[in-house]
Amino acid sequence: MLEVNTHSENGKGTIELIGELDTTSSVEFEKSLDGFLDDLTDLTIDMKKLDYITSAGLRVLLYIEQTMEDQGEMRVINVCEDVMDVFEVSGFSEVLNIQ
Amino acid sequence: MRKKSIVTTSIVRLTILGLAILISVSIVTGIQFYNKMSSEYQEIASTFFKIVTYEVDSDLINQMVDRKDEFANNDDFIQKYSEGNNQNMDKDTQKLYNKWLQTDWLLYETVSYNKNFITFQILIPDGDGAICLWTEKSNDKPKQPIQRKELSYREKAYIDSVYGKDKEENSENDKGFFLVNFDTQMIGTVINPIYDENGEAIAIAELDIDLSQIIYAILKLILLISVLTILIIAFALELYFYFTRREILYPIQKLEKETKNVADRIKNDEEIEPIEIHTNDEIESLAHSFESMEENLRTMFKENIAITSEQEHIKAELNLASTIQTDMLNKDFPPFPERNEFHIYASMTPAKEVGGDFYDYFLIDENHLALVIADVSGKGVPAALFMMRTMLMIKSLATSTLSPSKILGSLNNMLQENNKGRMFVTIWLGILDIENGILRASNAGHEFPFIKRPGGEFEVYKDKHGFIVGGKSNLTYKEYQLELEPGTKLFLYTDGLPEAKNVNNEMFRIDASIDALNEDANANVEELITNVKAKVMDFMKDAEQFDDLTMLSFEYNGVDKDKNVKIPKISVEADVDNVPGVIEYLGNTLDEIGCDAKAIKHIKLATEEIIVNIANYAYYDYDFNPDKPCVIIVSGRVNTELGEATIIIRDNGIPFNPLAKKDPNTTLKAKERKAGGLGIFLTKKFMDNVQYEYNNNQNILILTKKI
Repeated sequence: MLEVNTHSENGKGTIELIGELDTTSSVEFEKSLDGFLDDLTDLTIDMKKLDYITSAGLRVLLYIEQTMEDQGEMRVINVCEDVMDVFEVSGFSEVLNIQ
Repeated sequence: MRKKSIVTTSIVRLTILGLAILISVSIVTGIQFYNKMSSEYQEIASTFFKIVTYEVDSDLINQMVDRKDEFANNDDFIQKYSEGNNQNMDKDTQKLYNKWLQTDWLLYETVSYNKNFITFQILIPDGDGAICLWTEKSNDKPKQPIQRKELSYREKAYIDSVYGKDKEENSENDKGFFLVNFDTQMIGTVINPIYDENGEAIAIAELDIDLSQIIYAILKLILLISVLTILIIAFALELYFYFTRREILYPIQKLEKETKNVADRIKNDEEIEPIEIHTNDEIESLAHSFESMEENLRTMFKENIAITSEQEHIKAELNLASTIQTDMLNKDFPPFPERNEFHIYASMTPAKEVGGDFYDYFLIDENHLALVIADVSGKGVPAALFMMRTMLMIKSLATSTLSPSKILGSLNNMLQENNKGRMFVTIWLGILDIENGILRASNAGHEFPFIKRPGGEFEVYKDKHGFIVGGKSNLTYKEYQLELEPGTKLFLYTDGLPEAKNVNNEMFRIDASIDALNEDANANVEELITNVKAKVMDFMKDAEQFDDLTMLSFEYNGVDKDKNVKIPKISVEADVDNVPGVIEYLGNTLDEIGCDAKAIKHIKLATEEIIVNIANYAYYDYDFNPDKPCVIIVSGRVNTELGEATIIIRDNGIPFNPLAKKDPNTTLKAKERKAGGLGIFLTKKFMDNVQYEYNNNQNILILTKKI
């Protein structure tokens, strides 16, 4: 179950993730990003309400990260403990800009 | 290596012999010659004396004797006579003097006759001394008229024995002879008495002979003889040696040389050259003896090598058989430490010639344990190989059926296919439903198992026997069921136990086996076997162990229902859409059981990654059959005592071991990261243990995590 809230203004965007980023929801999430990232130079992903992530979710984040690297900056904030575990184990804690 | 040589010894001995001969010959010759010469000279002397006696007038001697004092002591008289001045003599004295002079001259001539005569004297004993009437020396003639002289001891002795006696009395021993060593001259003195007409000895004639010539001649002769003897001996020795060398020494040396290296020749398998000795005597036959002896040694050696080599082969084969057998058997105890529903212990003590006994135990699946004990006929490598085949076939057959009777039936047919060796095997096979404690078993000609119910003692369970396996094709085997209560013990063994023999050929027997177990029936599985083994070894003592001693003990503890909470299985078609449902179900069930929230999250994550993977790839490269879809079954249990959750994920898709995938490199930067492999990686990282098995046409993944 995932709820996604997006907001962008003058190339600066935020994404709020609520719920679980599992296999199914990751697919939907990726679909919903279509076009959203295009003109962004700065992106913040707020994971305060995200308490579960799978490898599918990591894949989407990686895609976002790779896209934003060419366009500008990106950060992930308010990562909860369980999600942090996954980031650390998978090495994503080095890849993503976690704040 | 030898300290002496025949040659040297012979030379030494023959030389000593030669010298002995030489010395003997020399001595004998010398003595003979000496005797001859001395008797020759005595003869000459005798002849001389005869002449003398003839020429010397006894009357003259008598007159001289009568007037000896006058002649002997009167210096003036002596002077006159020595000058030859006879003017003042009276007529009688003149006549006497002339006669004396004449005689003197005759005697001188006679003495000079032989150059070896030195001195001639005519003596008239007078008390201790003697009056010397004439003294003639052969090479000079200082005139020495009558004088007195001392007598030597020998002269005295002779005179005493001869003088005064008449001719007849003296004829035997009147010739005296002795040696006088005068400075460096050897002088022989011959003494003869002078007889008057009456045959009475009136004076002594003494002749000194220079023997040095004789001695010289003797020595020359001895030398000559010696040289001759030496030459003869040398020649004889040489001749002797020549033949000895040729006929004895050389052949023996040859023999020595040829036979020196027998050992080396035999070892290097070199041909022996015939020994070239043709002396036609004992040595030749000795050489032939050596040759045939070497031949015999060679043959014996080869035979010995062949025998040893064969023994080595046999030993190697036995070692191989033993290795095959022991390698195949599981020896790690406890074999399933994570399963506390049962305990297993087993041991196989091989006989000298390994016999092909085996035991086996394996988990067919999560809930089914197979127990096998078997005894292959025959010994050695064939039995070991047959045992290997049988073990592997049983394992393989157990993947497709849980029915022991069916397994044995199939096994029987399979073994018959390639059974040229006509081997067979007795088997007891049991398959246990672990959760429910139901044991299905089938006995193909094997020993009765022993069973101990909780609270009771070990007793023989007389199960029904099917025929031995591998004996006849297309046989049906029967099976039976036993319900095992927790605490039930099973004891399986081969005939090596009851048939163990002691030195009196008595067998250990079933009763003794049961008694050995019941001595401490509550011992653990390992102790039970140790106890029985000790009893058997004690019974056998020094007797040789003829058959393998194989035992398997099993204790059933049952499943602790309280402590083991089952996660009821959920099965869905392998489709990504079905995944969330399964994961939610899993999470809720774990929550109900009371697992830790974080652990639940990790388990959900791990399980999701796995089943997503299955859903995505199970049909990959696979002919999808809509009538036989790929199904994913998730089940598990939670052991609340150990605080451990076990999740079992099964699918019937293509065989795939997720653990075989390499972990992704988690240190790479974003651009370098690849998308794949992450899910499995997370699973491995978040679970304490991940195990994969392909069994019964199913991929089985077992995840465990401490909760």
